[in-house]
Amino acid sequence: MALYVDKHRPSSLDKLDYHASLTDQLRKMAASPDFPHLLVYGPSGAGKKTRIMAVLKEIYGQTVEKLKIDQRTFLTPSNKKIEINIVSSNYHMEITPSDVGSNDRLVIQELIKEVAQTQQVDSSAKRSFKVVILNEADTLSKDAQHALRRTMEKYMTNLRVILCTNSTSRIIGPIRSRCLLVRVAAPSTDEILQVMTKVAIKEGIHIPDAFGTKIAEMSGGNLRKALLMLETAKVKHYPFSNDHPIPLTDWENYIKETAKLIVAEQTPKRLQDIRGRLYELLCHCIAPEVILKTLMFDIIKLVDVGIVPEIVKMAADYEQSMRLGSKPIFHLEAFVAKFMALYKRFLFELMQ
Amino acid sequence: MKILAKKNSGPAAPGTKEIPVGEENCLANLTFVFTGELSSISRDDAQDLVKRYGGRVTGSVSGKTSYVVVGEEAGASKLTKAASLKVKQLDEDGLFDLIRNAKGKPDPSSKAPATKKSTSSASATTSAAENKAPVAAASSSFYSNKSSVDAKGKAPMTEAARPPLQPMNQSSELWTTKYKPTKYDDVMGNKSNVTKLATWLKNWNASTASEKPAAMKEDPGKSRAILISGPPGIGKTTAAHLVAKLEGFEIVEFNASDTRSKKTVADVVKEMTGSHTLAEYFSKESAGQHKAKRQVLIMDEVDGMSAGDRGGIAELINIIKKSKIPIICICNDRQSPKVKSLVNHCYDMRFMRPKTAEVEKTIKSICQKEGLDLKFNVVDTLVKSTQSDIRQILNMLSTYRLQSQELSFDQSRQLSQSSEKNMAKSPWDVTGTLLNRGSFRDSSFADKLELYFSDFSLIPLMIQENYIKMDPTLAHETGGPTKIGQDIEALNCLANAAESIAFADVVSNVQMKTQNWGLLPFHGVMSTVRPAFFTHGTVVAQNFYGGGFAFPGWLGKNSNQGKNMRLLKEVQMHMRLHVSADKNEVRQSYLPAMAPLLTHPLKESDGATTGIETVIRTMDEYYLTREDWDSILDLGMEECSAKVLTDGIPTAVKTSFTRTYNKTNHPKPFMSASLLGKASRGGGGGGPAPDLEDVVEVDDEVVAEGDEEGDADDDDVGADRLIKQKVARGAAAAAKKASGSGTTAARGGKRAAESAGSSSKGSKKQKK
Repeated sequence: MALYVDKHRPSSLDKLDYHASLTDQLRKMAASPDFPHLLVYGPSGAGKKTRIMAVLKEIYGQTVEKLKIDQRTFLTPSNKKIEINIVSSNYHMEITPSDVGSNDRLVIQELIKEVAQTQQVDSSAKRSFKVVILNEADTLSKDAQHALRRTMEKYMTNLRVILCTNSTSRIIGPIRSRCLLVRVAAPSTDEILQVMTKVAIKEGIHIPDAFGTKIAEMSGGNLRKALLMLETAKVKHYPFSNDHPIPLTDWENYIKETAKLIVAEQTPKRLQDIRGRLYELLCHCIAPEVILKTLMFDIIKLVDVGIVPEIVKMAADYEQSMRLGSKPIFHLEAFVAKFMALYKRFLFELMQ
Repeated sequence: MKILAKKNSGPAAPGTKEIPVGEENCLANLTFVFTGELSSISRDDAQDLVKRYGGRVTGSVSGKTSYVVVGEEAGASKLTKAASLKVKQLDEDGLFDLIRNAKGKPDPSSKAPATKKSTSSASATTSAAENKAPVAAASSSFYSNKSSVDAKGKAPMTEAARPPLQPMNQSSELWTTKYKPTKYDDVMGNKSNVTKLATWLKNWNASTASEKPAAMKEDPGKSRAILISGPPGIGKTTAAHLVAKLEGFEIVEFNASDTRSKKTVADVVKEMTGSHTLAEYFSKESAGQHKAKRQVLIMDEVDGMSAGDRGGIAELINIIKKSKIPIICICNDRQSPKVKSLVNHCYDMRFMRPKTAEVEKTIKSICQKEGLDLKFNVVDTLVKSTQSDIRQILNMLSTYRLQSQELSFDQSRQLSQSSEKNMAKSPWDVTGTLLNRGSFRDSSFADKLELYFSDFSLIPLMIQENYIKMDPTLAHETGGPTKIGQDIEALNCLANAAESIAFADVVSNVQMKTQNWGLLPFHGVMSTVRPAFFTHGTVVAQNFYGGGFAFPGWLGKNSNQGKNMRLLKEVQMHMRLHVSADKNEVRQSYLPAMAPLLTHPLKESDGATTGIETVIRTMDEYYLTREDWDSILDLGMEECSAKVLTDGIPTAVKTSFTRTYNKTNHPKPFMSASLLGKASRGGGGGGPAPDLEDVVEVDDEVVAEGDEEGDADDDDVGADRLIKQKVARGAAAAAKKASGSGTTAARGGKRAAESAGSSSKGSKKQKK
């Protein structure tokens, strides 16, 4: 009973649907004896992980799909115990250092060095090196990134690093220069539609053209999201018709509602209500950046075009300060307060 | 512009009028209520002025109120009440005239009318007589050497001819020792507690004592010990000693100056608590009655048991449990973790700070005896500034007596200011001071920053929580005459405050990361002072619930978020083998799609069992546990929330779902390190892989290993658990494999359970 998105995930380079030239490049890279460090970047749902796993399969063969999860415990200098989960096969290891927050440097130092200093035991392995995949690399602290740079050069014989991230902007220059940058762009609407049709045929469901296009557009280039939306829509109502509404996810609806409330009334009282709603979103683990972005996009749909640039600038400013700070709610609230003040004045001046 | 002038806080034209000088005590026996803001003098100053001339200032209008002083923006309720009670209303000029013209009256606190130059006034004599009565009553039974005081006090003295400094009674004793209470009536405040303590001690009997904390809470007679707690200087030790003395007990005291480690307490005290003194039997007056000279143990300053007194409290508790003599424990801070364990074994008695009225009489008579003349409202000022610390008041006065014989209101203010306790203000008080219009404008920038430093981690959060509830005064002043203008300005003020708070967050982050504590003042300004500047004003009425500012919601929300983050992380980790998405993607895309899949089948009426099987199969596919099922629903909002999704699932189905899940066995991607313990480290082998066949192979290996480990280390609970679980899972998988389809899972589960049971029995046997 796997979801479509997992059931029909391509498992090898040959089965990949789009970005043919990239696939080609990856295949050649896997064939050549010289395999560089990779920095794979692109928006979520574009297929980064799928491609990484396909390349590894190309290099090491079937065994790389036999995964296990371990849990390792580290002791910080301040005697705090931190635990990290490691997904690994015989040839590669995958970690998400951001799971341990600001202690990620320790994980990088200890764990990666440990891997780097041991040679591949399996003599039947096709390559002498092992691969370490670092997920969410853009959330790596600067310290951790610096800890990584020397390791990457020194243990080149034993170790390749694949960094997987949404954007390269927060990867420090030295790391970027040590990696081959691989961009996995978001699939176009047509490509998404194509994949969806393929899945639909395998699953034996029918997707009307307009309905499919609507999902593809709404997914915003996120194939994972598109397929999950398709499945949710199917659970809710099947067969599809062209004018069938596409259900938004819970949090998207909630933010949309919030945006409506903000635009409808600008008072301290309302600001207080909004604070409650923002807390609600944060408590349900919606990333603050996502909240700010979605909220901004929902708001600008509802207001006069004239003040849109200003709102976007405000949102950008607060996203920046939110990343620099540590309490996201303050920045979200400041954004809402600023918008309210701006919009109220705008409406007032419009009346006169 | 009219609004600007009106709403402006503080005096509109400070200093434009001359502050009147009146005769001493000219406002005696008059009660004033202030409402609104006066024009040339701030309200606080005006109140001080009234107090200086002997008047009383109260907060609300009552029948006893003599005058209501009305300023601008006066409170409507006070005015109507004043009108209904026919209380005279004064404006600022009226008040000043009253002070200028009123005749001075003798200080009622002084029992020597002759000393005052204004005694000739006819009206004054009557009031003096009135006031004399209670003081006389208070002191009449109090001191044995009263007559000498009177004689001294009545010595004719005029203001001019007063000797420069009358020599004090030459005594080396401190006032606090000298005027220690000698009977129950002398104790200031906490009368009921003292009575209770006396009754308890009188009726103390080891045999009636109970061990149960609940019983002790209700009835002090049931407990062997009493724990007295309260702020310093209000007479806890004094009361304990007094009661013991008057009830005829011999006092054995231990305080912070004694070593009170487990050993010493045991050695010294145990002997005593388990026995009787010889004096009890031999003393003459106790002939025939054993009760006469019993002992009481007073453990003073128990919260001060320090590192050197290791185990002292525990030993004390042991002693209390077996004691044959009553024990009184005294502490300041009942919440202190040191005392916490003690609380359950004692009757809890809390001493409160005495009110001004309770201490005033006694203090006045002491001062009289010492030849110090206290003016009107002086005691009140001292009590307020020291927070009812009687000991401190007496010490202050005795020092002051060395240089002067008279303490006027102004001097008392000075005195209390110079010796003001640096007491901690509660976060709510600090928030109030920062956000309320009057107090914000009255305090200097440095004062406000000082408030931030009273608790620099909590105050910014308090401000952040509460700034939003303010109606900013600034908006009324700069927003122009229209309401809409002011509303816009109010939002602007809030936005500026929010911006400042957001910026402060960045500052604090930098400060934490670089450990640059020099940034604290800057953070204080941005997080506290600046937002308070923008938003200070009055609290918006509809938000004013619970009678104060709210505690920061951020703390609770943050921990809630942390908890949910952990749940999400766990869910993501379990799904990890099948899903490549990170945490955020799992939450944002997967969970909304998954939540219905995990609940809808349960709602199908036709066959709950098939629904349950479908859900469990989906869960197994993603390695989700029953706990994850709950987590996923908890993480959803609105239409994906647990409330909506589980609505319509009959309770019977839900319980049968849980039962079925627990009965059957499920693939697990991994075991947590804590469960496995050290033993499993070496035996990594190949891990379980996505499909069931692999699980079987892998598990078989692990089973073998587990058994070996069971042999090797019998006491390892982790290993034992490992055996059970892994065997069970392997068996389940095997059963599934054998039957070849998922529909017989229940049967397989049963078999698995059986085999698991037998194998765990087996491992137990091995142990034996």
